[in-house]
Amino acid sequence: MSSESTRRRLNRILAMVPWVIANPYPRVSEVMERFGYRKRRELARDLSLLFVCGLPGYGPDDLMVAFIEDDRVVLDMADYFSRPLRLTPLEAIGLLSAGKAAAGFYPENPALDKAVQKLTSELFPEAAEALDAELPPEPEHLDTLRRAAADRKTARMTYLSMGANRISTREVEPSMVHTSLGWWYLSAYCRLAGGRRTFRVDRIRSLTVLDETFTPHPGPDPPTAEFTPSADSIYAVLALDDGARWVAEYYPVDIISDEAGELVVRFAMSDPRVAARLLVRLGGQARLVDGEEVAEETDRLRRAILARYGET
Amino acid sequence: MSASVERLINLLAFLVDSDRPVTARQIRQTVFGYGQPSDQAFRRMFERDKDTLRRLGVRLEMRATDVWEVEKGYVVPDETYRTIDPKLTEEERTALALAVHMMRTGGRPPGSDALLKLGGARFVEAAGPIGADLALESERLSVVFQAVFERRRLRFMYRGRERTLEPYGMRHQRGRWYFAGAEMGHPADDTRTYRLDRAEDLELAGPAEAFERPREFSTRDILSSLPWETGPEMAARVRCEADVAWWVESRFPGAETVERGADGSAVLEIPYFSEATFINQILASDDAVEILAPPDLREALIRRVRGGA
Repeated sequence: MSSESTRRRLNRILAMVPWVIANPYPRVSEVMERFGYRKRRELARDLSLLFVCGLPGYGPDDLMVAFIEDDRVVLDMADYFSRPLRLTPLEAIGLLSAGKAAAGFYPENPALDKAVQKLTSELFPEAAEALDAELPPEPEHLDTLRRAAADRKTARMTYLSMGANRISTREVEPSMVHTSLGWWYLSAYCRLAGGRRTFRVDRIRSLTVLDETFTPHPGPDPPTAEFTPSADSIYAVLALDDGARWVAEYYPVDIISDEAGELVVRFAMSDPRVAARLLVRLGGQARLVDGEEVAEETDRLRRAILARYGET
Repeated sequence: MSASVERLINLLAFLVDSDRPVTARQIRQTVFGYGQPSDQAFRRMFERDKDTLRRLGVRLEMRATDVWEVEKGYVVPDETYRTIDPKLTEEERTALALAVHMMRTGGRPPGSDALLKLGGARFVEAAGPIGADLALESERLSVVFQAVFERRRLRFMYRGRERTLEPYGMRHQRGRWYFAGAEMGHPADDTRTYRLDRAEDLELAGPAEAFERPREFSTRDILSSLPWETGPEMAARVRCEADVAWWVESRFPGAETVERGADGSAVLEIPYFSEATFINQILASDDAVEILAPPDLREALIRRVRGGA
C-alpha cells in the first residue's frame, strides 16, 4: 500500500462525489467513463467505502448514502463534499502546459483552443502571459510513422545510427512516436536488430511504408527515450564539477557523495559509449573514477577524434 | 489501502463539517480510524494523513479554537476549494483529456488528476500512437509555478551563487522548463532566464503579490534571453562524413553545403552563437564531423577533447 495509490484513489473519490451531487442519479456507465473506472467493481468498491464513512457518531444518520441502483449511482448525505477541490500547482501546470503544447501541435483543433482559453481566463488569468509550453517542431516522417503505427504497417527506412554514425537499411514495426528532452523518437520492433528499439526520428533519412501489416510482438510497452537501468546495465562512477552537475538531473544516476564542489555519481547505461561521449564532451568538468569499459571507450573515442584533427 | 482511504475521508468530512477549529486531541478521540494505542503511533499516522491531504490540494491550517487563543486547532481554509467553474463543454473536456493523455511518457501526467477535479471527461482512446514528455514530474516546477502565479519572490542556487528573483514567467521548450524574471538589485526590465533543472534549493521567499510583472513581459522573451540564442552570429566551417552530411545539414538551421567530395563527404558552413554549445553539438557525432574553421573554435574543441576546459 503506497501513499501515492491512496492519494490517487482519494483524488478520484473526492472528484466524483461533487460531480454526482451536481448531476444527481447519473448512469453507472457515465460515471465510469468520466472518472476513468475501468471496471464496474472498482466504482462499486469506492461507493461501498463512502457508505461507511461520514461524521462522528457514525450512526445511520451520520454516514453517507452511496450505492448503485437500477444501473444508476445514488449518493446522499454528503453535502460537505459538494465542492470540488482546487487544483494543486503541479496539477494546474500539468493541465495548462498539456493543453498549450497540444494546441500548438494540432493547430486545427478549435475545441482544444477554446478549452485552454477558458481555463486560462477563468482559473489562471496570469497564464496568458506567464506560462507557455511547446513541443519540438515536427520532423519529417513523423506523421507517416504515427499513421503506420496506428494501422500496424511495416516500414522500411534508412537510418543514421547514433553510435556508429553509419546509415543502414532496416524494416521496422512502429508502435509509437513520442517526444522527450527535445527530440522525437520512434519506438518500434526492429527486424534487423531482432528486438524493440528506439530511433531518433530526425535521423531517419528515408522512409517507405510497406503494404504489409504486422502483429505486435508481445512484451513490455515500448520503451521511452528515458533509459531505465536493468540487469544488463553497465555502471561507471563519475566525479562532476559544478559546471557538470546537470548530468545528475539528465541521466539516471545514484548520488554517491556531494561535497567540496564535486558531485560523485554512479552512472547506469546500456552502452559504454554513452558515458564515454559524455566524458569527452565535458572536457575538464568531469572525470571517470571507476568503470573499465567506459575508460576504454573514452580513450578510444578521444583518440579517434584527435586523429581526425591530425593530433595525437 | 481501504482503511487509510476511509480514515482520510472521515477526517476530511469532520474538518469540513465543523464550524470551528478542531484540535488533534478531538480528532484522535472522535474520528473513526484513529483508535491508536500510543501517542506516537497517532502522531505518525496523523502526520502522514496531513501530507496525503496536502498532496491532494487540501492544506490544513492552525487557528485558535477560541478568542483567548489558549488552544489551537485545525481548519480546512475555504481556498482549498475551487470556486469558479470554467464551464467546459463536453467537447472541450474531451479535447483536453486527449492532450493530457498525450503528455504521458516519463511518468503519470499530473494533468489527469486535474481533469478529474474539473469533472472528468468522456473520451474514447487513452493511448494513441503518439506521446510527449513535458518533464512534469519535478517538485521544483510546483515551487516555480507558485512563485510566478502568486507573484512571490524565489530564492535558489544557480551556477554556484544564491539568487533572489522576481519570477515573471515559465516556459517549456525542447524538453526543458525555463523560468525568467529580474534578480533583486537589478532593474525590473533586466530579465534573465534560468533552466529549471539547474536551479537548486528552490524556495519561496516572501509573501504573495510582492511585485508587478512588467506589462511588456511575454513568455516568448524567455528563450530569447538565453546566452546561446543571443550575441553575435558567427560562422563555422565543418567537414562531414558521407553518411552524416545530410543530417548535419538538416539539424543546423541555416547550414549550407559549400563543397561536396567524391566520396560523398561534404563541407558545410553553419551559423552559431555560442562556442561551447556548438562544440557540444559537433561532438554529438563523435569523429564523423570535423571543425575546419575558425581556428579558435577548432582549437577549443581539441582542448576540450584533451580534457581541458
